[in-house]
Amino acid sequence: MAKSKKLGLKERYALLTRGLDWETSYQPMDKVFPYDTYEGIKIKDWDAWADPFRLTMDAYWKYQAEKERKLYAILDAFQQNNGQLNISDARYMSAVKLWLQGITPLEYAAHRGFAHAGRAFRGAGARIACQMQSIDELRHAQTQLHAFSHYNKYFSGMHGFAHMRDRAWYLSIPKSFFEDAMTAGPFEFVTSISFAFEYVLTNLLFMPFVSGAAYNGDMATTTFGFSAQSDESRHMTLGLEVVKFMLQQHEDNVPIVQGWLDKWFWRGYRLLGLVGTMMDYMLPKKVMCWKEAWEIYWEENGAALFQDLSRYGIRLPKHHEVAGKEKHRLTHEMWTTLYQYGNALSLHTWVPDDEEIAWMSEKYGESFDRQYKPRLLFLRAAQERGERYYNNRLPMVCQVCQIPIFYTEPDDPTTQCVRIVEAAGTKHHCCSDGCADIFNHEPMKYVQALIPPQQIYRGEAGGARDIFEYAAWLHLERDVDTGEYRGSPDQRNWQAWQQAHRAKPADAA
Amino acid sequence: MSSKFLGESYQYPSANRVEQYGGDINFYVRWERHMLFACPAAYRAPVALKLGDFLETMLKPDYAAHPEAAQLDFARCTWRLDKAPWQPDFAKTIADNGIGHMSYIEFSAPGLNGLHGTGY
Repeated sequence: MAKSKKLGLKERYALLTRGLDWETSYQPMDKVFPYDTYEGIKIKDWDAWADPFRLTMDAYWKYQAEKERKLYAILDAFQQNNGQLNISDARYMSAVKLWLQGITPLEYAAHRGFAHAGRAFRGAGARIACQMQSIDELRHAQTQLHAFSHYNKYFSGMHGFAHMRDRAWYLSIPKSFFEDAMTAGPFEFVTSISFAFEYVLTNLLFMPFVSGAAYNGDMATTTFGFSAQSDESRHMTLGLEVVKFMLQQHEDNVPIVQGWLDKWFWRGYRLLGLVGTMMDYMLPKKVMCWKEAWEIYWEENGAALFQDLSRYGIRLPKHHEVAGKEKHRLTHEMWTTLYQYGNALSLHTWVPDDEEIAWMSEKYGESFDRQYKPRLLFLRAAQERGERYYNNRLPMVCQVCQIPIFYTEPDDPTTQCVRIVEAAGTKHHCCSDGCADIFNHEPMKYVQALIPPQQIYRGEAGGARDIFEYAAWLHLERDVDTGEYRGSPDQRNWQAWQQAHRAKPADAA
Repeated sequence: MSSKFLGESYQYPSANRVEQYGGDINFYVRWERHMLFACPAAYRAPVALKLGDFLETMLKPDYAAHPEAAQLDFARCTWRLDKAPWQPDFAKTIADNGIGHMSYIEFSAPGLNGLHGTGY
């Protein structure tokens, strides 16, 4: 008997991807794969799809199982050693709560989206890459929930993320982002999620969160972040690969892809406003400010990437210069909005202390001192008088990104930017030219959007008549899950635990 | 421009139609240069309500937290409806003033430019 020869990586990959594929004969391929043509993307040769990782399913299971073992060993140790006591401050939990409520459900949505995209592509290479990413995303949703679940025993506001996902006004921002992508065709889906989000903007998402977690003593999240890192690099590679593949296959694909890059750059950027606010306001120990992160990860790295793509006829996404104008004010505008709608948020808000305000002055300079510092000091003075400011009137919300319309005109930071668009016999409102462009390109898609304040006024939020009844419908307990940090149970518990921790006699040598 | 789709057609009604409001309408108001109120505010009100009553009983109480609210005199304000110059009649109803479902009202009060004149 001949000795079995061990297969090389390339051979193995070919056998376990293309080698398992076949041309259908009972039904025409176009009927089996109806979704990969209707968007207008022309593919001449699916075999030109190259996967630089050449990962096969058997190796995938082996690697992932190893990562799981390590991750759960550390999570066990974290829990047994009361790791929650090692975070920088209980205010840090607002960042974790926002992630749990807003981003973890996106991991699950990505799992669903890639499962669908994997079914939709007729090329085996693309199908298998999507299949693995779909499983990755499910794993990320699970590991995040497991990492965060320990905190749920000690802090408020983490009990109902799944209930809130489909109901809370601020969670409709990430939810609508993904549902917009998932209801597009498979090529737009992978362009939006794999390229625009995971490749172009991913550093702005993971860097603040995972580095922020490390800076703030959150071992559970840091460990999850490392466990996801190798998956993320594979996802980024898929993103770049799919865009280059489309651009190389046919010149007619270029304007379609450019349109998607314009749209998804803007949608991704709008979503990142929440993450930027996390960096500047929710992390008691700061990593870097939003403006610095934008300059490094978009203005330098992003511009270099688009320079690279210019050989295919791709230019920088529309409205990128508006993002540049907004980098001085984005997070300040977002935080003062979250602060005032705090009665319907399942996380705490507060006015930063003097040291943090000095940090913002240093990072943001004159515009902060002139525009935003006086606002923070006004809010602090009101609170000290016992009149902590809340705005209990429902806001106007952007029909596309679903962010309340608080962002200001590109050239006037004292006026909110409101754009009126019209379709299906009704006016709608957008927060920017970027969102208005997206609406006007596909009005019949966005007129269907469910906008939370409108749902409340139509009686579709459990019949809630005001913001407090609405918060109760979200299963939020007033001033426990919601509202001001100072004086909250989270703060009182934290102070008591810190005192108990310090009072404990040192272990005998 | 329109969405690409599989199937016969891709036409949908707005998810926020006036028929869903039982005779009321949904509209929006912004006090210019008072960004303490971070967003234009959303209202649901009956179209037969007098505009003056809406302003005094629904809108004005929302502004109580602002130090300039006490000086606010609607009669002296400059108004725009859906971004066009507009002269409201406070004695008439919301409907008779031409305010419709999803209308957007902006007004600015002379001399009131927000705290420290920063539009806040």
